[in-house]
Formats: sequence, structure tokens, C-alpha cells
Amino acid sequence: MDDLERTFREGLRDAAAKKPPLDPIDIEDVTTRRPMAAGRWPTRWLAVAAAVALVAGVTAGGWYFGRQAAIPAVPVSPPSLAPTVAPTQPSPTAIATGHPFLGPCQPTDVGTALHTNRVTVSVIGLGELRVAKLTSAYLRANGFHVISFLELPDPTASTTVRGTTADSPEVKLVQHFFPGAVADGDGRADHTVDVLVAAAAQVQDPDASVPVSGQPCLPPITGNAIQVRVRNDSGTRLVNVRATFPGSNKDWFGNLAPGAASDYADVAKAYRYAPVEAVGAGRTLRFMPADYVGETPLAPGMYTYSLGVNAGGLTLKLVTDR
Amino acid sequence: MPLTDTGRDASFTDFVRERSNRLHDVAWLVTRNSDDARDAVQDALAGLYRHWSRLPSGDEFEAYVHRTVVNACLSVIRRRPRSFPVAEPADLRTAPVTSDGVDALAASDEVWRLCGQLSPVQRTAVVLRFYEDLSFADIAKAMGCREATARSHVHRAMARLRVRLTEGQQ
Repeated sequence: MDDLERTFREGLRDAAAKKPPLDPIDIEDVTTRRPMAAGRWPTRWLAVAAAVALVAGVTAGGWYFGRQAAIPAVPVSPPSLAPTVAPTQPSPTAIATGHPFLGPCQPTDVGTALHTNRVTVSVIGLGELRVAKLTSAYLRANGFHVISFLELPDPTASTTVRGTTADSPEVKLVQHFFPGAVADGDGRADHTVDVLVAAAAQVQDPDASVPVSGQPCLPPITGNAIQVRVRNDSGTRLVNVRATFPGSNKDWFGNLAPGAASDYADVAKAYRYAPVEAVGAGRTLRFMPADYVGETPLAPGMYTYSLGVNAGGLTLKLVTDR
Repeated sequence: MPLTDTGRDASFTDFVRERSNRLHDVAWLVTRNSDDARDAVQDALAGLYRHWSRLPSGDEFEAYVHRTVVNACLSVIRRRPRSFPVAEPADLRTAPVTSDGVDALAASDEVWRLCGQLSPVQRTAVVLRFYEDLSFADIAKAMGCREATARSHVHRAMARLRVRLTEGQQ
């Protein structure tokens, strides 16, 4: 091996060592995923096969519908997704996606405004590849409680936000994140919200809220509902910000410019302090709590860890968002 | 796809645990973007899982795995917008500081920069050769090309790096 080959090897190994960390592969996601690439079939042959199938399908469809031309067309929507009035039943979409019926809603004290962390959402992708998964991640990052997502091969042109009624505060709050989306209601009892999404949304507004008077009726938030994010309140760009939480895989919060905050992340358990590490000002900076003795886990809610930099490393301050 | 065949699922799960990091490294080096690399690995694993019970064993299996990952990476690159940014420099570029730190930094950076300027196919050949340590015959199998073509991709990339490093020393 000559020096040049050695340089190549070392350069590539160095680059691989410096790559951003990979979240653990979700086996279930892999085993249920439609493969985009297979070993023996070059993509161009798949494309040719798809083109042939498309032409054959169009020809057969034209022949069939030509024969049916005298019969008036009846608009049919997928029965599993059609809005219907069922005041004490799970929503049709809940049945289609298989997420459990959460039971009748409960009057919930949310103060004067409903925020994202109180809203339970299911996502049904009806458009681009993996749009439901992307949208779920995006809604979680904005604080929503996403309980299921499902990709369906039924393309649609517009996004629909569906809840108990089109005017329900939880529906309005979700609709805020999908400009141009239509809102409707099916009278569901649990006050969850379904998003039948055509294209991934772009709005980033974790502080969004809808004013409410009294106590809106909402499904109880079950399971893990602690959401944390990290904000860089120092004057230094922080790179590879990592914060560790007991029992959670999520530890990488990205690169944060001064004043920037990461997305919210669900964690199993969190305390006022967390071990945090980042690179900034030309060195590795750390905040390392000695232990959690005397500390109690944080209650469900949304929290921000505010980072600062001093001569000793990082400083950490917990802010309760809601 | 229902998870009914527990034997297949168990062996596939073991495979993912053992190999996903390495596959991700290859995908990262070829696509140069973490999201694309993750997509490529997921696509490749999904493709492997689909045919898991019928896959060959031994060297043929390794060739199939490499072929699948290469196809997934190139497919992801073809799908992304032409103007996609190469990568976030801040994520990447701090070469290890060694005893001859300056030279190591320069050469390592130069390899990374050069790889960014190669075509995806050339870059794939280089990664398989110098990161996966494959023979030219295996690279040809993984890329679906002739051995001479694989050899040509790698040698051209090395020639370019040689010129770069020589220019840098002058």
C-alpha cells in the first residue's frame, strides 16, 4: 500500500468517524417499509416495468370506462376515511389507522389558551412517499402528542384536518400548521385530531396557541409526555450539542447558533439538570451534574434547557415552557 | 409486511444490529448527507428484508448487500434536487490532530473535498475500495459494472488526489 492509498483510507475513516450520529434503526419501520432499492434489480428496469404497467393500465382503464360512459358517475370516497357522525364512537380514521379509541374526552384546564402539547393527533399520509412519517416527526417537534401515523396509497391534492367539529380549538390549532388545509368534523367523542396530509407542512411554531374560555374537552395525554429542547443562550455557536436523559435514545440536539433552539424531543424522564456536551469556542464544553440525589423527575410538560458558556464550560438553566 | 417468520426476523434483526453502523458509514461517505444516508440505509435494509429468506450465503451475500446499499445511495442521490448543499461543513471538518497534525489535517481534508467533487459513481468506487477494502472484482459486482471500469474510477480519483496534494506542497 503506497502513501496515497493510505491517505485515502485515513481520510475516509476520519470522515466516517466525524459523521453525525445515526439514530438507532427502527426494525419495524424497515420491515414494513416499501423498498426503494433491491440488490438484483437495477432501478432502470424497475422504471421500464412501471412504465409498461402504467401504459397497460391506462389502456385497460380507457376501455373499461368507455364502456361505462352512459352510467352517471357516483363520487366515492374511501369508506374508511369518510367523515360520518358518530358521537360516542371512535373516529373512522381511528378505525382505519388502528390507534385505540381514547374514550370520551375530559374537561381539561389549559388556562386561557390551548397549546400544542395538549393536542392528540394522528397522521394519515395520502401523498408523497413517507409524508406521514415526516409530518409526525414535524408535529412532535412542535409539541403535539402524535399517537399514530399511517401511509396510504391514495394520493390527494389537499390536506384535511379532521376533529370533532371544524371549529374545535384543537382542530384550529392543528390547522394553523397546514396553511390552506380544509377543516371538518365527524362528531368523534374523544376530541383527537386527524391530519389527512397531502404534503409535508413547513410551519415551525412550537409556541402557537388558540385562545379558549373555560375548559376544553380533550383526550387524556397518556404515556410519555415530557418534551425537552435545548436553547443556545450564549454568544457562541455550539456544535454537536448532546444532552442525555435517563432511558431515552435521543441525545443529539444538533448545531445551535446563538439564540437558536432545537426541536422538542420526547424523553422518558428528565430532571432539572442533564449532562450536556457541545463544541464551541474551539473546545469541548460540558455541563455534568454530580448526581440526582434529592431531585424529583420533572412532571409531564414542555421544558427548555438554556445553555450558557463561561470559563468553566457550559451553564444550564431549566425553563418550564408549559 | 406481517412479522410472521420469527426465524427470519431474528436473523435479520441480528444483521441490522451488527451491520447498520457500517452500512451507514458507507452511505454517509457516498451521499455526504446524513438524512440521505439514513434514507439509503433504511431503503437498503427494506430491500434486503424483502428477500431475506432467499438471499445467497457467503461471498455472494456480501456482494448482494453491497449492491443493495450502492443502489440505494445512488437512487437517493438521483432523487434529490440538483442544488442540494453538499454538507454542513461545521458537522464534518475537524481532522484528528496527530503528531504531524498539520499534514494529517491537510491530507484528510483534501480527501474529503476531492470526494465531494467526484461523480457519485466514482465516489462509490473509491469508498468501496478504500473504506470497505473490496477488491476490484467485488467493486464491479457491487456496482454492476466491469472490473476494468471500477479500476478506472479508482485510479482517476487517486490521480486527482495526487495532483492536489502535490500542488498543496508547492
